[in-house]
Amino acid sequence: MTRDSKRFLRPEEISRIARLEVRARHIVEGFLSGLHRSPYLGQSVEFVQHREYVPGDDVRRIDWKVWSKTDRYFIKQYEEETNLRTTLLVDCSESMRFGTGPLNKYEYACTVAAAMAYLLLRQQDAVGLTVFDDAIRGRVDFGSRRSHLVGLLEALDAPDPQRKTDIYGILEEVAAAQRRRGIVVIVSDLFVPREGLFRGLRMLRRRGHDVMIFHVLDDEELDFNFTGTTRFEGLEEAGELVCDPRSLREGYQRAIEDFRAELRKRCAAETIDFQTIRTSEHLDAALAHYLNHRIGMRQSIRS
Amino acid sequence: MGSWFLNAGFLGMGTAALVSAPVIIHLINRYRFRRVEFAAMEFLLASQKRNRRRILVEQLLLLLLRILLVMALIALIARLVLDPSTLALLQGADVHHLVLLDDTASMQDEWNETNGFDEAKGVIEGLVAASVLEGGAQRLTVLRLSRVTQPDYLEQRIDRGFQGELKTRLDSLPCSFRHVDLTDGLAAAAQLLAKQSTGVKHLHVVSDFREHDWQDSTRLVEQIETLAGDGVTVNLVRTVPERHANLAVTELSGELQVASARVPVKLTAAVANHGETLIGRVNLAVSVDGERLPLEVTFERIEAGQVVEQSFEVTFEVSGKHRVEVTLPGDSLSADNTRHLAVEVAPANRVLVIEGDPSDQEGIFPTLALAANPQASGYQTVVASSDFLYRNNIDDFQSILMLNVPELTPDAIESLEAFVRGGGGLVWYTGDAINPASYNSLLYAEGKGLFPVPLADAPRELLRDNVAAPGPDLELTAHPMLAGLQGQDNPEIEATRIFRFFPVTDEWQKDDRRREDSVTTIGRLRTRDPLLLEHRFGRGRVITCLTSCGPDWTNFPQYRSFVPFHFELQKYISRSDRVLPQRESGAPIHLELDPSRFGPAVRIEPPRNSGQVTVEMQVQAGSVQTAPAGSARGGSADAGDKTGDKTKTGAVTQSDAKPTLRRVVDYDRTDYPGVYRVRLVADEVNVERWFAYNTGRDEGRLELADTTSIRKSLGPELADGVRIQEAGSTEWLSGEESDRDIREWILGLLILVLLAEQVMAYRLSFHPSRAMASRGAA
Repeated sequence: MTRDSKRFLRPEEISRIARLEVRARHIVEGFLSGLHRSPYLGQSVEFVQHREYVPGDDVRRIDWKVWSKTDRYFIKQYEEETNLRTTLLVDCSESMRFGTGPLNKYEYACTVAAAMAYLLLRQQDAVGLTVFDDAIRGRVDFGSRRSHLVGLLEALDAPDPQRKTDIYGILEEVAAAQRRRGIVVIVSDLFVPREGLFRGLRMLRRRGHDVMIFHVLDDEELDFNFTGTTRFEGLEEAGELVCDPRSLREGYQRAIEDFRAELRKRCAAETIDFQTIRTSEHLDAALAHYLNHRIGMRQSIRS
Repeated sequence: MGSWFLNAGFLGMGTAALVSAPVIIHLINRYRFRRVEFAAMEFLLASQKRNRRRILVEQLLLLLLRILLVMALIALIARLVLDPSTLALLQGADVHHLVLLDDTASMQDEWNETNGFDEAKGVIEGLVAASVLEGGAQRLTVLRLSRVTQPDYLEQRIDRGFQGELKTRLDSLPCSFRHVDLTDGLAAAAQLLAKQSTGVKHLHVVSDFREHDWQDSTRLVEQIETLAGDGVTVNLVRTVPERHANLAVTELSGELQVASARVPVKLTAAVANHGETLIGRVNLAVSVDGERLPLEVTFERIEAGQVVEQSFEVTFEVSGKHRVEVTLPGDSLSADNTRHLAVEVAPANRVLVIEGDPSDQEGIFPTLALAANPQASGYQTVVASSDFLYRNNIDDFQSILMLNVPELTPDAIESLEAFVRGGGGLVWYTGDAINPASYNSLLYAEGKGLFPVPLADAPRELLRDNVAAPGPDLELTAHPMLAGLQGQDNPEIEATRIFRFFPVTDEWQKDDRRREDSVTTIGRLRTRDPLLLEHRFGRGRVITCLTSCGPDWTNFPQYRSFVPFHFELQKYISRSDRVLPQRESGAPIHLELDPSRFGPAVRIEPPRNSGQVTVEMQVQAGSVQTAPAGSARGGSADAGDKTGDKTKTGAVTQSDAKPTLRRVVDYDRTDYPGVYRVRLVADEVNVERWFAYNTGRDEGRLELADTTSIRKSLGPELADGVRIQEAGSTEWLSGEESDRDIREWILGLLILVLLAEQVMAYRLSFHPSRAMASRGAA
């Protein structure tokens, strides 16, 4: 590694995420305890076959009906159907390089992805990662072991974003690679051709994937508090402009708000969970949102 | 342009560069920017496309505000001078300067070879010169206070040609000797300016502003308020820098009604010290008919603010009209150092004595008292019976004594009434022969007649309580006629005995305060019965003595006081129409002449040294409203006559007046003090009327109203709008006083523009926050 990939999970991040994991687990356990469900950790809900009991097995898995008939101890084995595979799609295009705070958008997106991966791996969920711009720059297959995190973090440690985004192509590739339905989490600023984006999302939805979008934006992209004569140079060859920012602020904010409204509307139409996150926000909000989403999914699967 | 700025030198120091600075800075700023790599360009470009035009306009506006800011700063530092008239000139509006020139007598106050009026003329010349320099449509009106209805110049256009003509005209402009209320001048000015609806109006009041002008300032302030309300700029320009000491002759009068040839006439002169220090030993020179008399009236001591009177005697050798002048030595105001008097001197004072009974010796006493020595007394008595009254012309008698006349025929009464009504004096003495019934019915006539009281049926003796030591029979009131008798407790008055008297009827109210007639009790008996009475009938005075001069009635004739009593009596009652009128300079001569007596030719001769020419005119008869003959203004009476006692005259009401044919003479060129002679032809005989004119008394009071008291009179609101220029100041002529207003305006404009510029600059991102400034170009 040329860089310390673990910089995305610095000790403070790890400890924060660890606390977050505790909190997340608390949320999940609390939610599930209300439903009198036992907390699942990699447990399936669909019975597949019996296996003779050997010392060390969980006595809760003993099928007592079989014992009553056979007077022998057998345990039930389930399919890991709820071990949904979560694919993390992280945008590393040039536009993600923008940032006015301690983290730029890409760094923040990677932090989100890393935190989620950590959480999922702790729960022995399978996580895969794709880092993309106009092409896939890094891919990590699904894995559920905790050691899988390293690979994920390495993939996130991509070269600095420089290129444009071809979102439709990426989503098409991801959809083709993912035969089993799962969760697709997109972390991007979505400064992409709209039609391509929604075609891709629609395609994912048709294939049964559950899609969540974390729309990452910098504070200044939302608030546009620039002042003084400024020459704005567009990333991803978007052009340049010399202007007095304050005179354009109102119009800019209206335009970006229209953009977000359109995204919300069209995501809602496709039942895609959409959330805008500022790079100044803490991760726990994003992750709590993800967990709520996942709990909701689990409930819908059971019923 | 330089004349618009007081610090014009500042203008040369790169004004153009300063004004163009905002443009240059604006252009430079377009190339001074920070760079930011931005991801959401799509939205920025969309905003820019939508707002391009608005942004351009705002930037131009900001640039304009900054240029305006610099220009305002330059105007403030260079002290732009623009008064409303200049602004008006720029707008093409007219500027009208109305000068109210005070030419009253006090403006002749002299110091250092100049005087207030000359200074005032200089102010006008300066104003016109400044206006010529300014250029534009400027007009001048000059209104003299002494003739506000006849402007010297009316909206005269101001240009170089006019400037020369004005100087010539002003050089010959005389100062009057009048006293005129400043309020009248302001009212006339307000009327003139009110006719002008557009343009800028300035009123310059050029005056000495004496304290007496502002003493009762209510009307003055009201006029100034009216002017200010009409948008007129009021400018009070002083011409006299300080108060000067001044002595003035304020009075010259005397016992003129009894002036007769070769008999000393007592005259009285009064001198006022209007200065602030005592003046000692002032000599007044006396002239008669232009010839100085070897006589000086000396005032030993006149305190500051005091008026001192001195009497002296002048003997006129020849009867006829004479001029008397008294003159003080010269001081700062010579206009009030001389006072003029016109005196009609009769050959003798003729007194008609009507005796009831020629054989009665009672009539001799008053006759002897008056005319024992006609050469010495100046009185000439004619003793006659009552029919003389209607058989002869009695108008040239000064007075008539009625001594114990039993009764009068209607003809005699009518003639006597006409005589008294016309101003003649009348004295009644009662006696045994009086017919009370006739007196009561024809002469008393229920209080409307010549006799003041209703008489009882018969005379009565005055009873004494204590024969051995009786108290005084006579009690006299304080009366000008009796002043000489009552001095130093005259023992003769106490010793005077009244043995008999004619009482009034019991019904007659003896208390003067409870009656509503014009009869005044001058002397009473110790029984409270009236003895000596006075009343007025028309213009004449009537004195009634309810006793006789005979020894059976009184012992008064034996006392020495008897003679001066009758002299004083005569002075008091003598007809005053012989006293020639004294007027203040400027009062017009107004005559209404009966055309049946007076011819059309009228000649008016002003005083010799007045510089005015004699006026001859032919006056045609016209219809006028006039009072009947014999009334207060009957016949050929001259309006405005101040002589004579105006009390209890029985004024003529409007209903008495009726249209009559009269020749009306009006002459108002009486500015100059002195004696004006009016020559008329009456009954084919040349007659003259003389009028003595003197400087207004108030004009001698030279105390100046200081600026603080003037501002106080005006009140805070009005005082702010009225400018007061001190004597000798000329800065205001060049408009410097007005720049105060302009600076405030410029300052206000500067603040407004600055605020607007800041708002625009903020809006256009020229005020980065510290956070953004520190981020800078990414």
